[in-house]
Amino acid sequence: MLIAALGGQGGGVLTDWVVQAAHADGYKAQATSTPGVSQRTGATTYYVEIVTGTDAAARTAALALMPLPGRVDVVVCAELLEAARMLERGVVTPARTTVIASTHRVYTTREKMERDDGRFDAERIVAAVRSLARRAVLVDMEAVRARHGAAISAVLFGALAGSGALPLSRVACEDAIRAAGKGVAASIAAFGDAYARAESPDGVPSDGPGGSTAPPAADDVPLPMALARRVAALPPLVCEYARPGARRTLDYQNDRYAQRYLDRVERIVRAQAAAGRSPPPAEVAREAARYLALWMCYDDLIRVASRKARQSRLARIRREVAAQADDVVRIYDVFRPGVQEIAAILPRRIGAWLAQRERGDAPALSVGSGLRLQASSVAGALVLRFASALRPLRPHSLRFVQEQAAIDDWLGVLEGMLAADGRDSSAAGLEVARLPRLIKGYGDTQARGREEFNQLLDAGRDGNAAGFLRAQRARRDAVASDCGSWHGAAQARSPRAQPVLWAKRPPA
Amino acid sequence: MERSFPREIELLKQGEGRMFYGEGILAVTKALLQSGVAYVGGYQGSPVSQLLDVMVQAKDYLDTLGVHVEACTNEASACAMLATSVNYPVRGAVTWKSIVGTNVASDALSNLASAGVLGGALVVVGEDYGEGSSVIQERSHAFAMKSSLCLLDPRPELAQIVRIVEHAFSLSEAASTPVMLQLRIRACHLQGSFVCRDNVAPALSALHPKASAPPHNPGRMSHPPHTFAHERQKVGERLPAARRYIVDHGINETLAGDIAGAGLIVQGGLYNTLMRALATADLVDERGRSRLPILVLNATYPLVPEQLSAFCADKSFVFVLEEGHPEFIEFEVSALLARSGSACAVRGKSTMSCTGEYNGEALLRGLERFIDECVPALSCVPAAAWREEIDALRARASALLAAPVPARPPGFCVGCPERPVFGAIKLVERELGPRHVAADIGCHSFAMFEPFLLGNSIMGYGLGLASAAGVGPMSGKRPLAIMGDGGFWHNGFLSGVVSALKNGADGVLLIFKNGYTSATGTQELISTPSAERRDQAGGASATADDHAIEDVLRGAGVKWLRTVHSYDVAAVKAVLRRAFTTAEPGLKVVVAEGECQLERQRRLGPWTARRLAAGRRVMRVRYGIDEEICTGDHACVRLSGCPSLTLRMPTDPLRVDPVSTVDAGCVGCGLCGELAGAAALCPSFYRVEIVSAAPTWERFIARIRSWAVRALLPA
Repeated sequence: MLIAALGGQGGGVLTDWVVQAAHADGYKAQATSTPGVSQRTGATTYYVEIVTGTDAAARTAALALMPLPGRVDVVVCAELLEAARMLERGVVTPARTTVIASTHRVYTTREKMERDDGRFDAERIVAAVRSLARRAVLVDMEAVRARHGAAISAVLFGALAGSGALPLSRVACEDAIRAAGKGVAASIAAFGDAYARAESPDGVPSDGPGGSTAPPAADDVPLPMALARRVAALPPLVCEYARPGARRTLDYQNDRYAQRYLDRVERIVRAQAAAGRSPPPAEVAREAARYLALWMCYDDLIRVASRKARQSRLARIRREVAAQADDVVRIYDVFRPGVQEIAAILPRRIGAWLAQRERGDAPALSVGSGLRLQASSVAGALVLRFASALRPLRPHSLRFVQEQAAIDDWLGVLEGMLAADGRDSSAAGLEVARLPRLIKGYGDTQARGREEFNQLLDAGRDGNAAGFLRAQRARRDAVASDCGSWHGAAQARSPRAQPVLWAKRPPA
Repeated sequence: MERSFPREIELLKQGEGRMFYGEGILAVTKALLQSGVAYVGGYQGSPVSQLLDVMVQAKDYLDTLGVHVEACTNEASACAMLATSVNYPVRGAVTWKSIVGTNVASDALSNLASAGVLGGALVVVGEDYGEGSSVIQERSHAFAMKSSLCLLDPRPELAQIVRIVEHAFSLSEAASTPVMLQLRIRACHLQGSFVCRDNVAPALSALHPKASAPPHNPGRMSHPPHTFAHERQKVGERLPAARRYIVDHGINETLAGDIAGAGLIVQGGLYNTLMRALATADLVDERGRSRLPILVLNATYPLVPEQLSAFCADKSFVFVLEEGHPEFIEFEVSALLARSGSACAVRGKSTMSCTGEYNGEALLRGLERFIDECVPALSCVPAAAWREEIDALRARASALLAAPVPARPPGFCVGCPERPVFGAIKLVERELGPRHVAADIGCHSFAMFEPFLLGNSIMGYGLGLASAAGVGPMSGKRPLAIMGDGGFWHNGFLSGVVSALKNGADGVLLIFKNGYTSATGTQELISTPSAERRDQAGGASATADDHAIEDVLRGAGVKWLRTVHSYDVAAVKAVLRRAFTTAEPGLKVVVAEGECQLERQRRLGPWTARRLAAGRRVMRVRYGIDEEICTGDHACVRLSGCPSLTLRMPTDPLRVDPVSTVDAGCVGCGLCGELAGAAALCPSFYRVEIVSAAPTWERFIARIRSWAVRALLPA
C-alpha cells in the first residue's frame, strides 16, 4: 500500500495505525517512508507491506521498502493532485489497484500564483482515477474531517478500512486509534463516518477547505421594467450574462449606467448579427456582455467601501471564524489607498493633476500609509459609509472618464474584428471579447495587465485577425517558456528602468 | 524539539526477550545501549535526527546507565568526540546526515582513523540519497576508502540492523578502526520488530569514572612521525584484521541459487528491493529464494578478496548492484578478478543506470538486460512484460491527465517567520532591481521555489556569507547573503562573518533568528529561548529577548547591525533598503527575528487551553479576503505563498477566474495584512480578532458598538 500525502497531513500517523492494526490482526507488516524536509508542506509518500499468506515462505519473505510500479494493491491519497501524481508514476493499474483518495484540492503554489487560472483540471483527475483504478473510492475527506474536527488521517483510515481493500478488522483499526490517545473521540467519529462512506463514495471534486462563503450576489433581484424589457429582447444566450450585468451596473451606479451597459451590449449584438457568420452564433456577444459588466463595475474606493460597509458582511465573518456567541469580534480592514487610488475618484482635472504629480519628480505624498480601519467600530463604519456615499459623484471622477474611453476603444476594436472578413476573424473576435480578463488587480499588477491588454488590442486594430492571433500566441509562448509562470515571463518580457545607486567602496 | 518521544524512550528501556516494534533508527539507538555504549553525540539532520533527539530526551534514563549524550554544534565536533575511544577502552557512537555531515566531519574523521581506536567507535550516517533526499548526491563510501574505515551497509531488516550494530563495535575493536554504519532514508524510517537484549551499562562512565589520566602515548596522536606508522598499520594490520572479523563472524552472506554460471553481488541495503525485483522477474523459487546466487555485502568496505574469489570461482558472469557513482565495489571486483586471471566477467554500471537510486524499477530493468545478455538459459520475458506494462500504463495516465502534474516541493509552513522577509526582499527587488543572493541551507532555502524564486548559489550549511566573498567586489550591487541561526552557529559565524570582517568585505548578511534548527526538527541552539522564557512569551515571539547572536556579532566587530521583527514587512523592507544603499563601508548585518511558527504553535496550544480553562482572556487572530473585492489576480500569492492562502471559485456567475481565500489553517501571523500594506495590494484583506472569555467591560463596549454599527450600516 502506498500513501501519498503532503507534509503535515498525518501520513505518518496513518501508517502507524495501519501497522498496529495489522499486528493486532496477526499479520506481519512493515512500513517505511521518506519524510525528511519534504515534510514541510511538500509531497511525500509512505509505503506499507502486509503479509497475508500464512505459509513459511510468506512469513520469511523479504519485504520491500519501496513500491514497484504496477504492483501496488492500495493507493491512499490525502489530496486529489497527489492521486494524479501516483497515476503519472505508473503505480495505479486496473489489474489490481484500489485507489482511496480525497477529492479535495490543496493547490500547489505554482497553480495558485498564476494571474488567471492555473489550477490543474480536477475533473480530469477524477476521470483518470476512475479509468485506471480497479476500484476508486473518492470522498471529500476534507469535508468529513472538518465536520468531526479530526485530522484527515482518521478519515483516510476509515475509508481504507471501510473499502475492504486491506484484510484489517474494524476493531483492530479502532483500537489502533484509541491507543494513540490523542483526540480519540473525534478521530473515531471521523473514522466511522468515512467507513460508511467508503461503500457509497460521492466522488465530486471540491474546492478544498473553503474560507468565505459569500452571500449570493444580488443578481436575482428583479430588474426594473424598462431594463428587463431590453434584456429580454437580447438573444437568449447573451441574456445569461446581460441580465446579471444590467443588475450589477444598476447597483454600481444608477439606471442611466445600466442603460449605457445595455446600449453597449446591443451594439455588439448588432455587430455580430451583421457579420452573420455561422457558429458560434451569440458566443462573442455573450462573452463581451460578461466582461463588459465586470469592467464597467471596476473597483474604486467607493465600491470597495460600499462592499465592506454591510451588516451582512460582519455577520458572515463572525460565522466564518467560528466565533462563539459571547466572543468579542473585531474586524479590521487593510485599506491602503495610494495616491493613484485617491486621484482615481477625484474630479477629472484635479485627479489628473495629482496623478501626474505622483509620476513626476515631486516629493512623494504619504497618503493613507498603513491605514487600518476597524469596520466593526463606529468610526470605521462612519468612514466606510461616507466613502460609499460618494457614489453620485463617480461619473465625474478621473478614472470613470478614463475607463469609459478605454471600454469604448475595446468595443470599437471588437466591432472591427466582427466586421472583418477572413477565416481567423471569428476566433479572433471571441478572443478580443475576452481580452479584459487581463485587466485585474491593483497597482503594479494592474499596470502590467493593461500594458498587455493594450499591446494585444493594438495588434487587433482594423480587423487584423491574423496579427491579433499571432500576438496572442506569442504571449502564450512567453508564458509557457517560463515554466508556466506568468510572473517571470512578464518580468523577462518588459524590462523596466531601475535606479542606479552608488555606494562608496571601503577604504583599501 | 518538534516531537517528543515518551513511547520511544520506553522502548529503549526494554530488557531481554521483549519485542521491540518501532523505526529503524530507533532500533539502532537501542542496539547502541545493548552494546554498552558510554557516550553518544551527533548533529541532527534527516534521516538520523531521531537517534539524537530520543537520546537527548532520554537523559534521565541514560544517566542511570552512565551514558553521556552530547548534542554537538556540528559534525566536526561530534566526530572529534570519538577521540575518547582513542585512549580509553570505551565504546562511543556519533551520528549525522551524510554526505554533508561527513564532509564537515572529515578532518576529525581522518585524524581519528589515522590514530586508530582502543574502544569501539561507531559513526551512524544517514545516507541521504535518492527519493526524499535533501542534499547533493554523493557516496559516503569514498570516505571509508580514503580513511580506511570499515563501512557497513546492513540488509534493511530490524533484527539484522541490530546484529550489525552490535558487531560494529567488536569489529572496531578487533581492527582498531572506526566503523561507519550507513543507513538509507527508508531503512531509518523502517517500521519493524526484533527481540531485545538487556542494555549494558558501560564499565567506564560518569558513574564509574577513571581515577587517573592515560599515560602519554605519542603513537595515539596523529602527528608525524607517527602518521607514517599509522598508514602502515592501516594497510598491514587493521584492514586485514577487519577482513578476518568480517569472514569469521559471517557479516557478509552468501545465498545459494540453482542457476549456475552467474551471480549477483549486492550492497546489503539494496537486498530487499532486489528480492522484490527478482520475484517480479520470476527468478525466485517456490520458497521465495533467489534462483541466482547472491553475495550480500553487509560490509561494503573493506571487501574480502578471498570471499569474492570464492563466490566468482564457478561463474562466467557476476552482476554488481551498487548504488551511486562512482562504482567503487565494481572497480575493486573487476581488478581483483583481472589480477587473479579469473574467467568471470563483471557487469554493473554498464548494464544498470549509472546514476540515481536503485529502486525496484531500476533493478528490474537492469536484471532484464543482464539476463538477456549473460544468462541465456533464463527467460527475461516476465521482466520485459512488466516493463512494457508499466510503460503503457504511464503513457495512458499521461494521456488521461493531459498535462504534467505540477511539482509540490517543500515550502514554508503556515505563518513561517521567514516568508515575510522574502516578501520584503521581493519588494526591495522591485525598487532596486535584482541582486546576487547567496543562499544557505535551512528552511530558508525553500525561497528558491515558487513564489519567491530567489537565490543564486548554495554552498553548504552556514556558508551563505562565505560564498558571496568573491561576488561582492565584482558586483554593481551589494550581494545579499542569507544564513539561518542554525547555520550561523554550525559554522557560519567563523567561515562567513569573521572572514568578512577580517577582509573588510562590503556586503549584506541576513540572519534568520527563529530560535531553532527548524529544518531538521526544531532542535535547540545556544540561542534558543529558555523554557521559562517560552512559557512567559504567550502570543508574542519568544526569540525577541535573546541577543546571543547580536552579542557575538558586536563582539567580533560588526558595526552596522539591525535587528528587525520578521512580520513587520515595511520595517524589514526599510532596513534591507538601507543596508543595500548606505554609504557606510563594511559588513552590514540584518537580524530578522521571529520565532519558528512550529514551535510557537506547539507552546501556544497548551498555553491557550490553560488560560481558557482558567477563564482568562484569549485573543486569536485570523485573516480573511472579501470575495467580491478580490479581482483574482493572485498578486498576494506571488508575494506570500502561504499554504493557508489558497483559491476558490467565486459565487459570482460572471467571474471566470478563482479568487484568493484564507482557509481555516490560518494562524493569524499578520503577513497578509502587512503585505497588503507594504506592497499596496488590493483592499480585500481583513484581519479578525476573536476575543474569548473577554472581561465584562470589553463585552459591554462591544455590545454598544455593535448596536451603533448596525444602525449605521445597510443590511
